[in-house]
Amino acid sequence: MRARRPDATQRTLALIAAVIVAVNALSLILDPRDRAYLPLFAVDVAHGALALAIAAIASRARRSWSPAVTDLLFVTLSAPFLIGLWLPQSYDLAQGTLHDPLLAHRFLLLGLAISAPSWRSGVITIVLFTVHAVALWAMLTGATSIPALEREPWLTAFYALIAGMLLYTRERRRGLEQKLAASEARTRTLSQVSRVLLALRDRANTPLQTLEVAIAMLEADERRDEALLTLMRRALARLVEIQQTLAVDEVRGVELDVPLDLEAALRDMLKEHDTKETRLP
Amino acid sequence: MVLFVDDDADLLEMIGLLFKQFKVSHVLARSLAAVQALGDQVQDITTAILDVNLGPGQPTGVAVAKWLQERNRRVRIHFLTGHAADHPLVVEASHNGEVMAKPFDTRKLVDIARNSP
Repeated sequence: MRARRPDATQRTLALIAAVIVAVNALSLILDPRDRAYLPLFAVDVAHGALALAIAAIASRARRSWSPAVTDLLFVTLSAPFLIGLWLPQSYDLAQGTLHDPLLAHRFLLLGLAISAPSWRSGVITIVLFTVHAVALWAMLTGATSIPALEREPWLTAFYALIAGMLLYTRERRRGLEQKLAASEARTRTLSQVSRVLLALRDRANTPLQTLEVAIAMLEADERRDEALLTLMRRALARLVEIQQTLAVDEVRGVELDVPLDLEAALRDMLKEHDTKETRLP
Repeated sequence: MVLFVDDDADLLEMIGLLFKQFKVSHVLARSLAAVQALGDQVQDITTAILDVNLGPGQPTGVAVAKWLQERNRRVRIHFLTGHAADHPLVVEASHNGEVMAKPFDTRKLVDIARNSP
């Protein structure tokens, strides 16, 4: 049996985790604060390792995850940034090299808005990092006075608002796409059921015709049993009536290939059923 | 002579018995290849009763009608079908002859066969 591939959500989560691994690796290589400040070094290493583990799990997943599991993993991936954003600013404050302490928050808020797997995890993380930014601003404002802090926390709050709107439009579009995909899947299924019914009707017509001719020949016989023939005629009429209820193509507008093949129609329907899960987002 | 073409062996056998009972001169075939194998007999056919759908992957009754009409212009064509009237094959068939929906009244079939010139 062929192994199942990770679904679109798992692949996206693996990609986000890989980006976080890369960001932390770059930070360790390029940011002198990582080498100078051990707690920051330890947090970046731990965050990178956590992201690597989640990337590996997501890219090797053999089953779909529930939305709650996906949300939990996304929040778990994002949460270490709370420390990873706080420590460098504390370090810069101590060193007197503080410039724009909430710049990383603003980028991160936009990143969360475009990568959150759901409305729920998006809102949770955007609110969490906005509150975090306000707390960092309050701490820094009490300790120092730099021009960048004067426009805060409103500038970052404005970014949070933009992030919220971005998340909303993204989720709305995703919802519409899911509805559209579900509708297309329903239409495909209906069309295939109609094709199977039509092929069944086509297949039933010839034996019915054979019975019709056989009964007509018996009726032509002078020694015929009228009662028996009446029963046979009635049974045939009922079969014809059932067969006519399968005339679905005229009402469903099924696109017809020629000639109709019952086995092929059934095969297509079963194949569609098997692959439906992987086609739906 | 009446030519009856259908891919169903049971119906073909039953039609053979029917035509025999009503003393109709006839020939039976299951496919275009079987019709082509009739050779010179094709010239004696005056009426052809053809199933529209001769099975997956097989030339249709319409193809049989066209092949016959190219060799015998006086042949009358009647089609039998289980498809709906708006099926593309049935629409095409209707341009080449009368189309009857299965299952149809046997008396009509006998009338067509007996009135064959």
